Amino acid sequence: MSISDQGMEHLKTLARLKLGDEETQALKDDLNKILAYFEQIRDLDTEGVEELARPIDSFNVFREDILEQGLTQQEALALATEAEEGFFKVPRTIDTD
Amino acid sequence: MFEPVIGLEIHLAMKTRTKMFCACPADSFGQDPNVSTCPVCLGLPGSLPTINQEAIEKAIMFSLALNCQVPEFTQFHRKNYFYPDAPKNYQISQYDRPVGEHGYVELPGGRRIDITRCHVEEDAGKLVHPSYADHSLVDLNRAGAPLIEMVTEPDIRDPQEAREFLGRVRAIAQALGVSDANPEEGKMRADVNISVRRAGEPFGTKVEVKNLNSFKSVQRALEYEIKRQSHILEDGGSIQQCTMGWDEGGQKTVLQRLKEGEADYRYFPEPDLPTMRISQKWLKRVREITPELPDAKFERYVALGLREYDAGLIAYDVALSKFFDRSLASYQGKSQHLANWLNGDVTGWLNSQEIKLSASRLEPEHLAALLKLIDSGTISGKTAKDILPELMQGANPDVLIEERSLKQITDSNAIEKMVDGIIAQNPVIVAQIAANPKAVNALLGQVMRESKGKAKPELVRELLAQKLGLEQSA
Repeated sequence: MSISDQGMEHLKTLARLKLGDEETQALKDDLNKILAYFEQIRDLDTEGVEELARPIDSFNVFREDILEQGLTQQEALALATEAEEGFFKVPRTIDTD
Repeated sequence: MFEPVIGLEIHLAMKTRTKMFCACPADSFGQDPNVSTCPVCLGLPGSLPTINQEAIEKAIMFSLALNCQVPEFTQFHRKNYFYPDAPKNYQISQYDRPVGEHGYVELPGGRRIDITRCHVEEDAGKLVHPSYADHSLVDLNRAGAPLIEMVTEPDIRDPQEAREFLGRVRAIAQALGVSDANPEEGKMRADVNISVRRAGEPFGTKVEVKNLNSFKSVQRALEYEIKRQSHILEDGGSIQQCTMGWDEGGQKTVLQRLKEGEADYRYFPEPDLPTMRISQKWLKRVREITPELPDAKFERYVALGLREYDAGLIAYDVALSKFFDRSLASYQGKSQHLANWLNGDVTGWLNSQEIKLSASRLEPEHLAALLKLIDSGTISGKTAKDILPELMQGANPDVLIEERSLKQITDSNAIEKMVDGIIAQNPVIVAQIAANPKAVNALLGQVMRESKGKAKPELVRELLAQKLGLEQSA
């Protein structure tokens, strides 16, 4: 099993990535290696083996509904590439106006 | 002729103190941007989520109220998508094991709308798009806030029914204290799935309209889509599956994007959170602390003797029913009398001022006191109506009538004097009464005027009849 060019375009759309031809090809090669690894896993006989989503069998680990001090606005925005008037500033996400 | 097939997806902001997976405030409506965040809800590396037990409990309570089955085992999944309102690049949601499944809500006419599922998830941040700018702004206060998402089967027949359904869901959520469920603050948001078909044909291709933030927008968007889709099909076209938005200004739906498939979200079990097991003991405890539901309130009010119409108005309005119950607790008269005042004069006044009951200063005990004053004959119904606006602004009726001596005159000696005086002043009218008994009303009016409306009308009428030798007509 390997990924098609069409599949690559779809993935790029979902991941919102704009890649050149070379980058796309490099990524495609990487993904195909990963897929090949999964092919190997798929060949294993898992008949009768129960699904295991988490390695630790703990459950009902809850937090009480009690407020704790978080970050200030300044601290929150400290890591932002760009900020404006207390907001994170990002490339425009919709085409309006 | 096409018939619509409608399903709803409703998001309710849960009323907890903290967010779903961290200890930041859950509600930051009206706050400055980015003042309620922490490394968890900002998705900073190394941070780990923890489950808010209160939110799970509220979701269980809500699911039970919607007649859902609550499974023994439930878990969270990751829903992956890339958008600036999701700082982790995934949303923690539920997929194969929601908190509630296979429920239903019954509508006033007895129609049943089936609920597919009720699950818990975290909210996204808020995006702001300044006009004529090449950027967008992100506020992550809401990111990670606890949500219930409920999905209906495509059981809804028309836009009006969709609106009724939303009303029922809101009443249930508010009565349980699970959510404030007010669309104005974004605490109740609906997405609709709508397709049309010719009667008897299989389902058509559906379109999703997202982020409708009022009941009215839901109705309008559905009406618009039914027309749009019907026209396309009539002209021999076909409907494309897509996601649309509602343009409030233009009152029309606009294309947002072609539909992503479910596989594109690459759901997988959230590895950072343990599973949850909901024991019978836990369910029992939740049932015990569940407040009275609107349907139960309705039954109780009808049993008290309220007309169904009034019982319905009160039972499905949480603020009104709380008020009614408190008022009734200090009123021993007929509950219908109280309902008449609440649904009549009080609601009328609120509508005229365009405010909600909660924004007025009317005390439940004051309304009860006012009704007691009427019942005992201390004040007339007219006086009660006259002073109601002051009660709405916090006045105590007992104090008011004392201060202004508004008490009805029930002393027959005092009234007799007035009646005698009026009879003496009006020989012409008195002479007419023999031929036309209704002429007595003119005298009654004059006595009432002389007493400034405080004479008890029944007593005046009785005395006039006595003095003039008339048969008392009821």
